[in-house]
Amino acid sequence: MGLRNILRKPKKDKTPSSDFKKLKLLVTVVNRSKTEFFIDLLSSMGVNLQSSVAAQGTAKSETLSLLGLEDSDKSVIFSVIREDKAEEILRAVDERFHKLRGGKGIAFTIPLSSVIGVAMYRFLSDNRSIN
Amino acid sequence: MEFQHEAIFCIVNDGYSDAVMEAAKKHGARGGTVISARGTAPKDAEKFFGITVQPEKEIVMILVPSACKEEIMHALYKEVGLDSAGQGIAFALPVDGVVGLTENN
Repeated sequence: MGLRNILRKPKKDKTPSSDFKKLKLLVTVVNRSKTEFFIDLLSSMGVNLQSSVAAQGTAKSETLSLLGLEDSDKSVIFSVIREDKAEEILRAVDERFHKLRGGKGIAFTIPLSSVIGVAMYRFLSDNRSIN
Repeated sequence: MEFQHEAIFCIVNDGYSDAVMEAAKKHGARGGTVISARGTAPKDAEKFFGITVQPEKEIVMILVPSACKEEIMHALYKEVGLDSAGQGIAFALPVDGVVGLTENN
């Protein structure tokens, strides 16, 4: 089905190219206990695909207590987001980093250069309007 | 587009993440995140090149200012490169929209 969509696309060409938004990979590192919270937060902002991986922080305990991060058990959440929503999402995540007790973490985005499959692109960008 | 930070990913044999962080910290990195992973390599390639690939790996993810990247990558190559016991490979991705990083002081 994905392949058919690709083949059909050039003929139809109904959608103006400005409808296509670039994608980014959002990487969020948070305390393990806050994984669900941040995944829920991201899903509520229209992020369709995310995966979390258990990880370990490396900062030494003196640094940790100085920064208020005591827990070295971390989770890395990878999510694919749309470029035009990146700022909004990052701002929301940053706000939780500051407000949530023990919610300190870091987040950054990496621009994606290509995605295979129109259906996959639409899923990742949560764009329900393009046909 | 200008990128002020880079995310360095360093894949090393299990147990060498401390060596990676030690090398990176000497050149300005402050902290990192370690993810357990599993490596694979074709058996015939292993034989051909006369190496063994230990399947248990660790991926160390370090977020650094772009200015420090070059030095850190060089240090990683020297300290935990493919020729060392850590058998590390490292690459860096430019990242933007960094939040949550405390300023250097």
